[in-house]
Amino acid sequence: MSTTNGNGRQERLLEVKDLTVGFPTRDGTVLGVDHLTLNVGSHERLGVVGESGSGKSVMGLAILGMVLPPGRIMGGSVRWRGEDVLDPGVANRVRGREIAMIFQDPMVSLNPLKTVGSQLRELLQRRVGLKGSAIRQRSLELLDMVGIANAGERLRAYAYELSGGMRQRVMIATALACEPTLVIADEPTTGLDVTIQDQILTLLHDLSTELGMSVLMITHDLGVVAQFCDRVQVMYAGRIVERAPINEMFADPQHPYSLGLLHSVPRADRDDGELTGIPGEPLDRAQFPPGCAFEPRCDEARDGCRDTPPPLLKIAERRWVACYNRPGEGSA
Amino acid sequence: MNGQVTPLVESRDLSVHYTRWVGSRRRTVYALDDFTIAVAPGETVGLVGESGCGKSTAGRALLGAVKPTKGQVFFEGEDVTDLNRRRWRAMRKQVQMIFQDPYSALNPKIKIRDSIAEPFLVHTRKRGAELDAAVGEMLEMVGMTASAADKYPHAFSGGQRQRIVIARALALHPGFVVADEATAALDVSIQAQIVNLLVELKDTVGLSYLFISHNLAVVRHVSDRVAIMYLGHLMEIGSHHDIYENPTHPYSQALLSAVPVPDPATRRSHEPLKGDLPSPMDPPKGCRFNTRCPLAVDQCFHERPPLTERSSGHLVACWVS
Amino acid sequence: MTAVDDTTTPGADTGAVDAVPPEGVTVLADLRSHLRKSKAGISGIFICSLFALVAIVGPWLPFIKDPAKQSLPDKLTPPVGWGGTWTHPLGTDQLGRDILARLVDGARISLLVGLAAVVIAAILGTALGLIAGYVGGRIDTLIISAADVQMAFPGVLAGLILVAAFGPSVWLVIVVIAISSWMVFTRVGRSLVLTLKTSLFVEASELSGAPSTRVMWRHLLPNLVSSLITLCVLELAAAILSESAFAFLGFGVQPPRSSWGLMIQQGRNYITDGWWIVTFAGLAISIVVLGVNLLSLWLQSFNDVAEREQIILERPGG
Repeated sequence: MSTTNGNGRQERLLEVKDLTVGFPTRDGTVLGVDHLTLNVGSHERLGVVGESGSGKSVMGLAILGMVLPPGRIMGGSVRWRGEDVLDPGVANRVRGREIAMIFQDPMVSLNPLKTVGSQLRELLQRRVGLKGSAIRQRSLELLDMVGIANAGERLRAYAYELSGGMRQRVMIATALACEPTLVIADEPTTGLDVTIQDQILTLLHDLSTELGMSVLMITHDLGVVAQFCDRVQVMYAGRIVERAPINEMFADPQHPYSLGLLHSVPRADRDDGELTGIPGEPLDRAQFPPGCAFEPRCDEARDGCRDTPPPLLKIAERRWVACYNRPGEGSA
Repeated sequence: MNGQVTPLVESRDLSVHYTRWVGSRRRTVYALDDFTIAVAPGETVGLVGESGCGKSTAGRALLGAVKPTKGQVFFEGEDVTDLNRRRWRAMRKQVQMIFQDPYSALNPKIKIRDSIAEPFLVHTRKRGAELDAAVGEMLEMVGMTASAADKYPHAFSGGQRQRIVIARALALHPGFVVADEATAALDVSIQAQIVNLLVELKDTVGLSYLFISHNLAVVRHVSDRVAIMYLGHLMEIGSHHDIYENPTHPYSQALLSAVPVPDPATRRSHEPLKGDLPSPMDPPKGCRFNTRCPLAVDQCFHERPPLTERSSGHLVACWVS
Repeated sequence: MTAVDDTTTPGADTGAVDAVPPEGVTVLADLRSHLRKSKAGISGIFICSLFALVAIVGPWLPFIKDPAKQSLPDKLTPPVGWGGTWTHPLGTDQLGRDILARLVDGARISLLVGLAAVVIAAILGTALGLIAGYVGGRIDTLIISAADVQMAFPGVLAGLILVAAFGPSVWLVIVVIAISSWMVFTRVGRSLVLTLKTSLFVEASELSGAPSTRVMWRHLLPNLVSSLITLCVLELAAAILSESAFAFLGFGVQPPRSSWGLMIQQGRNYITDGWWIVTFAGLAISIVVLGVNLLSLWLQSFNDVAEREQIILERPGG
């Protein structure tokens, strides 16, 4: 896998600014995503890494204007090539066509009562407008593209007849049907066996290079990020705490949370020293302190951390950190 | 690590087959075949493999929780395969298990005190204040406060529940603990806490682990020796160094190269292992890895390769490598 | 080892600490404070205890007349407000017996039969369901076949046979209703156990050497309770109605004693001349069933530990 993906000038595809998603609860509104800013350029593989409850999956859906009720988007903007995706008209045009999604569990997204072929057919008729024999032609082509052998036979299969890896390939095929410019992949390999995960990641990597697609990879797995992405954002408690090019993030993490995360992951390729872990537990959403959400677990915390959340500031070229102990140059 | 010392737990040719109805047909599931392993006192043996490789079945068979179809289990040199009920109950003090899913491993309807007290109630005469003290001591041992005893499981996060599960497993000071994907359901920052706790307890309490996991990195971190399984067969077993620095079986090599290393500096191009895992209801003849093996020769499709010693304590089941 | 201060880390555990009652607080105290916060619970308890009280002490109250005393001149007197007098506040039936007195008397029979039948059926049925589900194998096959046979066998027919053999009596009605509803508990209990027994906490208990009885009693049963309580209520309502059916067929309580079912069945012929006979008996049944339903609703939410603590502690003043 190569570090850079394509070359030439990058065009800004997706621009998310101050996106905030709230969920009403008994104790008031809890922010699932809090003033999130994110840009995806063309030919880019951006990783968003976070632990459970960090809001990364909520973010993935909210970018397409989808939030499960009773949650709602409370503020911010999402622009796709300059157009407002939060406008339902634009969202319907863009969603599934220019921006496609791949989820963790393909069983949820694939219709259990329809064969792979009929699901692809429906998609190609409705969204792409193909007719007649072109549909079958394109279906076979898509399955071939995602590395499914005996494509003709697989078209007649139902989702439950396929293995987990095979289902994820079908899912990718349906995402590719409309030749999207950006694929949002939410934990696409979680739950798959290591060797199958390897197949799927390699497939996604190769496809994004060949087809010039950008990928927004949402994952909890730092290994997946390190092997797959060009750039990475670390999320904690609904906010981006650090953003950096992939090599710099792993070589020199700046935010105490990123640092703790990297020191928590054992490596299979060499003996590592003691895992330091991060003390404490992730907080319950309703109990966020008014200041930095990581403050209760942070060993660098000081008084100033407790009042308002630190803004995401630029500390160097392409590097942003939200921490009072890492003062930056200007605001995001 | 093995050799002169009497192993704490040992299995010889342990096999577990069971039948399952698939539609209207009875099919035999070959969950575990000829599983031979020894765990020395104070040793951690990692057991690695993908889904359906039989690693959980192997762990449960060693604990007597699953009845083997054939083979034997020894505890401190004594054959415990066919112990009667009463003897097994006594054995329970010596061997315990830590589970994957800390949410399902604690009864939601009873307080933490009652969960941890159960082994004491079953095996000891501790009652009342003495029992409370024992429960509190266990909770403190795993880094919780004794006041946690009064709460119900729902008040705790996954990591805290896993600590409680560990406290319950260690209540009677067992010598041997099977940790079945003990950290798989946890976030990485919590996983590190639990891994550290397990390593620390091993030294302070004096434990041996069979550490079952699909995560090669975690296994590398905790294990003295490592065994790699595929579809019910042991493929390779050796020291930490043998497996990670000199993996010999083609499956071990493929498995290791498939792990995404959390370091972009180590990106390497490699050919992913082809194909899917076959079903344990219909395993391939000969070497079970033959459908995906890049090196497979004719013999691999007919004869099962035996585990042969390649260097001291490093055994590999492969005709080719 | 940084993780040792896990539960003492500021913030990490605050919710949990707050959400747990102080030491020494028993389940009973939990129950009380939980009840205070639950309108359904209070209403349910109120209705149920009122009826129980009436059933127990009613006949000795000074204004309750003899339920068996007939007075043909007074027959079909309407209740107060519809032309009746306070002599018979709820009117009289076709034989001039006081409706209020008969309702109070009937409450004893209806509640006795309903409760006794459901308790017997629930204990027997749940125990069999637990054993069938947990032990499995031949015992399971045996129990579940018996339940199937019972399910296919009409309860009324069983009643007829038994009455033919032993003669009509209230106790017989209880037995007949109990044996025609135990299998409901068995079936539901068994299917719940089949799911539960694959839980890791059951395996953990077995691995710690706990005997099967302990696993069933301490681990399986508490997890069945909330579902079975709902079932009890449904069955209680059904049992009260069954009792009325048996009364109508003449197999249950014998006149001059009364039961709500008997009153409805007898009053149904006079529905145009004396609507109050069926109406008050029907109302009595409906209100009791409603009360028991409310009670079960509350018990169910109490049984859900997480919800219980939320209600006790987080909703200030209900």
